Amino acid sequence: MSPNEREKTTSELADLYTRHGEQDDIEPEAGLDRLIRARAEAAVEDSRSRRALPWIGGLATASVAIVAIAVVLQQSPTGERAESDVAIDAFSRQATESNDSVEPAAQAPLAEISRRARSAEQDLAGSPPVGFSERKSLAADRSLPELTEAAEDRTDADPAEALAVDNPERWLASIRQLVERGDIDKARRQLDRLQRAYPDFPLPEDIRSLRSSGDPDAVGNRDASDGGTDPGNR
Amino acid sequence: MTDARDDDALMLAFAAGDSTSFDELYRRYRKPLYRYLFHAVGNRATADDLYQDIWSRIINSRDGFRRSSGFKRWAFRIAHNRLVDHWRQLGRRPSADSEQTDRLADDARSGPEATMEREQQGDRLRAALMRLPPEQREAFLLQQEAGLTLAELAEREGVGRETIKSRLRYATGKLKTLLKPGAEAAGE
Repeated sequence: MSPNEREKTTSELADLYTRHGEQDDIEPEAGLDRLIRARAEAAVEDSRSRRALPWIGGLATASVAIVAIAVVLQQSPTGERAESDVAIDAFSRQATESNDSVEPAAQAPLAEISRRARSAEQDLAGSPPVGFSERKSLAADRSLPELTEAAEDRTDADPAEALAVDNPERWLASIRQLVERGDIDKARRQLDRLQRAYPDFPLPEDIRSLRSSGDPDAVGNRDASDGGTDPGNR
Repeated sequence: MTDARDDDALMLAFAAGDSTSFDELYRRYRKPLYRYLFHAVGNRATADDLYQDIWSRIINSRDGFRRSSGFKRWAFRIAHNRLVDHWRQLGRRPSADSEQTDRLADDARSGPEATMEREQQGDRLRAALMRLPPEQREAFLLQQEAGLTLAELAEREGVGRETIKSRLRYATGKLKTLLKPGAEAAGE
């Protein structure tokens, strides 16, 4: 088939598909439409009520932190409890004398707590949220020529990066590593690519702030009345 | 009354708290998104489930939307990812769902005489689409429904432009064969 014939075939098929699309009855049922519209309405209402009570989030976080500390204090054996007390004392001192350095004796437990927090964070990053469980590599479904072409397409990609892109959690972890290394520009570029590939992947707060700080178009950076879209202006 | 704002402006307005913008956006995309899913999976029940879930994701991800994303590309990317998850959950990425293909092909063959020509043509098109390998079917549907360019399809799939071109070439070639008069009787 010549390129011209091929073009003609493609165009004929596109016409057929379009013509068929204009005439067919393939569309969601009215009940489904109502359900989705109601979800959107509920989501907007929920956001409004959260914006109306911005201190609720802080209060909830503080409450959880207090409960967590209380539980830790109750469950720790005596030796560790003393260690926790030292850590809490150190936190208190930091809070009240923010310019002062932490006592050397408190640095070890603080380092330990920090290490545990990082470890827990890594565990969390390893356990995928609903809908984003481990993605199977699609390589198994591709033919050899396609795999070869894909490999050629990616010859300039970082091998670790190439492995990460099939899994948003892994990708996020690699972005965190870039941030830790101080490679902020690259982290932002990677985050941009991650978001294009997985638009509905929920971003944790620390990563979201990375995006927002460099993105004037991000919702978080926009004024509510931006573009005349505030319902109050309508 | 039709809203003159573009899709991206509507999505940003929705993210800022205007639910009427969502209504307009939904009106514009309900059919293309549903058709994409229906033609990709071949049955209404699954398409309904996926469709609902995809719109929920669009709603829940509204704060992450940026104008540079382009709503159409953004929404179809979410739909495409959800489809991939769906196939993965089934433990396979079907080359074609034979049961559905057979059903659709049977429908096309044994439709009542009163069925109008265009309905038969529609059934045949759906049956033919279901017989394409999924990557070819997806490339074709994303090009037709989402209007994605070769470069956008290549980026989305993580393959080269030539690979996408070849998928589309095979898809159109096979569809042409399957849709030509007498192809069903010959068992193609």
